[in-house]
Amino acid sequence: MIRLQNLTRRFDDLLAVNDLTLEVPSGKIVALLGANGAGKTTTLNMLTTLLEPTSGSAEVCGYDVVRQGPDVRRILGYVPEHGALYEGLTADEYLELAGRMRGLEPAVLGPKVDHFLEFFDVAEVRGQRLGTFSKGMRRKILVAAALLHEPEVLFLDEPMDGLDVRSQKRLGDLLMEQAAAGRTVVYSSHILQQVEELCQHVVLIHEGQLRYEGTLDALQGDHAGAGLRDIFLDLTGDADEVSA
Amino acid sequence: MKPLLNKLAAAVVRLAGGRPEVVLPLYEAIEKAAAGSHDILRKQSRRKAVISAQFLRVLGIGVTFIFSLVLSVTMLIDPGNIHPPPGVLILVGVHWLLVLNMVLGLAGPSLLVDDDHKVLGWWPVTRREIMLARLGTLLKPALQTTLALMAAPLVVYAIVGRPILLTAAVFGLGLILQAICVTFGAAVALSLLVRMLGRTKAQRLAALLADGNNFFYFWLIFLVAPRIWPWLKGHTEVLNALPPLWFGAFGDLAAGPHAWLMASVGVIVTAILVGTGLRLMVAADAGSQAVKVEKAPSPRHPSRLVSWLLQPWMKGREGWVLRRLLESHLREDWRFIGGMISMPLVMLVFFFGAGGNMGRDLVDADINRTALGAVSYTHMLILMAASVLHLSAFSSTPAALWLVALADLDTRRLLSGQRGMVRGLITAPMLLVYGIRAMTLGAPPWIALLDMAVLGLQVEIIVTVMQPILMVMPFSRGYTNDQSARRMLIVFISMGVAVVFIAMNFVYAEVATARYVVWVLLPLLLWAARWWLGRRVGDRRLHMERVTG
Repeated sequence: MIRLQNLTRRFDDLLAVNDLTLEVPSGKIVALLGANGAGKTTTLNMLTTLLEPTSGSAEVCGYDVVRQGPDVRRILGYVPEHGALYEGLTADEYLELAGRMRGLEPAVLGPKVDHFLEFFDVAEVRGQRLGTFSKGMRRKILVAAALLHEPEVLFLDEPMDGLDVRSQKRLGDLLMEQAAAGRTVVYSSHILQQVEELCQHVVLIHEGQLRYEGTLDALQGDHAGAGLRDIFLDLTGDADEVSA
Repeated sequence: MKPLLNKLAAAVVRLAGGRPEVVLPLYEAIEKAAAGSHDILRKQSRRKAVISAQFLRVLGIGVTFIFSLVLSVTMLIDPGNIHPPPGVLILVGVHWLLVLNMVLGLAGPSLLVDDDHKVLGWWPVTRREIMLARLGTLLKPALQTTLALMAAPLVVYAIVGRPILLTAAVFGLGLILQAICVTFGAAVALSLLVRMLGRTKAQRLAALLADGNNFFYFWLIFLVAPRIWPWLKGHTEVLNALPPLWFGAFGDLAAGPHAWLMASVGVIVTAILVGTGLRLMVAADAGSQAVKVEKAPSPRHPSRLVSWLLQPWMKGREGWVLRRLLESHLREDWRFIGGMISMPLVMLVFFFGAGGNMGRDLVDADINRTALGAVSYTHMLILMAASVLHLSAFSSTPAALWLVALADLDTRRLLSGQRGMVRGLITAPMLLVYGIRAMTLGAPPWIALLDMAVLGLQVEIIVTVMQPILMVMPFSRGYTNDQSARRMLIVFISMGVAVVFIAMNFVYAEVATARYVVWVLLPLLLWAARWWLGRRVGDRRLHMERVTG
């Protein structure tokens, strides 16, 4: 369970996230939607303890993101949109580091690394430096690093960006497995078709403010069964612009 | 031996409040990542011969050791009533500067940019543990440098000092403490800057320490030191506050209570820095608080004026593109600005602040023939390094290269515009400084102008020859030590060529008839360099596949 209470983040004159209050249920894939600059990444950065809120509070599985940062970091997995890596490390070395930082024993870590490298079709390049990897391959390694310790909550910012079709399908299935196992997956993306396929719950923010929070079915029911793209444009005030 | 060292490292980490099972693997990973970055750079290089930061470090330790042999002689100087003895003072002073320069160059940019936070910010690793791992990567080379510098002088000191060995051992301990103090002090100061200024401003400051810029700030200290020294001698309270003196007192404990007091200050300050400093560095995650909100540049920004002034050297469509890129560099790229400021600053201080005429007696006959001998021959090195560094900073911007490649602009005209940029921003201002200095020393204006023309042609030749190398230089936006090492290598190569011109200038100044040969030779050489460049680049487009983002 993730709980946000009047969560606000300001950068100088810009109010990036404005008084966000909502609850994200466990065991679901929750889509975090919004136009560019809506405040999605800022919200994720606060929930993953990378950024402190200006005011308000947030809890992840009962831990406060400001006061109990280390506990939050222990139970979460995160795939950032612009994931920085130690480019000089090989895929193997990076995943080993990620696992050891999470306290995984070598006997447990080794098979898990092997599994994820095979799963994402990057086992053959496991000895190559990350600095030589393509965008999609880096993404796969970041996803693998986020899943190694079986996190209770998984935050993903544009996870499919750069992935080939096969890997997108595999990652989608994997995320559904995670949700079925009772874990919370927060999925931020601009690709609405994938959101419709994967997510059961939707949070839509616009200019830092909450526009909708609820199930995808309810949202579509409220809009006479319209597609998510039209609903999105309607809720973010751009529908006329598009139809014109 | 290794298990014992590992146990010792684990104990130190535990004592510092970190978890060894986290800090030690992280330390190893950072070291491996640095080596790996070099490996990537080497593989991207066509000749597979890229100088590594590691190699430069080993070279530095070797040079330090050779330097320490020379320094050993200072230990033989009769101390008289001076406390600490001159030999000790010189050793601690040099050691302090060497370690500080190395720490700033190695870690300054990384700490200011807060690299690790971007990779590990959401992992269950505390900032203290990240800092401990980073400090480990700094302390190792700092202590290696300490050992290389102190080994030979301490042997001599053990012989001339009393009692034998004990004096040297205590002094050695003082130097190791100084290495720890300087390393922690620099790291704490840089981390506090990130917290105080926010990440964006701290990143800009990082640029002023990157690419060897820090080396030139220390050069400034050497240039200014002779002027400050007489004042310092009259103000002992200021002198006693200088950190090297605290640690120098370890080499002179027999001098009495004052030396013991100074040494105690050194121990206390080091303990405070290690204890409180570490706490300050990790107290709050303030570095992540400041996120820059991009604002559109003002049309009256000084960058517009600079670009307008350079218009005569940047003509046509290509010139327009280069001027826009230059404006962007001047607004946002502090790495570019750092290179632009550091060496001209050194030259100004050299000429006007620190004497700058190499101690030669000025003879009227010299001044009426050329001012090169009077002003100094070696400034060519500074002029050359500044120009080439600047060219490198401008050429290697990936965004710039992509834009240029996509626009399908004329390569020759682009290169000509680049030379115009170097000429306008670096060569011309520095030649102006030279000309003014020559005239203040008594050279007639037309002689100063002739000298400036000779120097200007020489710079133009070297910049032209370096252009094809720099235009395809792989670039990373990250501040890697390999990147700095590579740039330093380029500067050293160009300085090597500059030595040939220094010899030419010496002959020009000393042999009257040689002047006519130089006047004919330089334009010919410039023509040949441009012909060679034209043949080399032809109508070729830039090597985009070698530019990394």
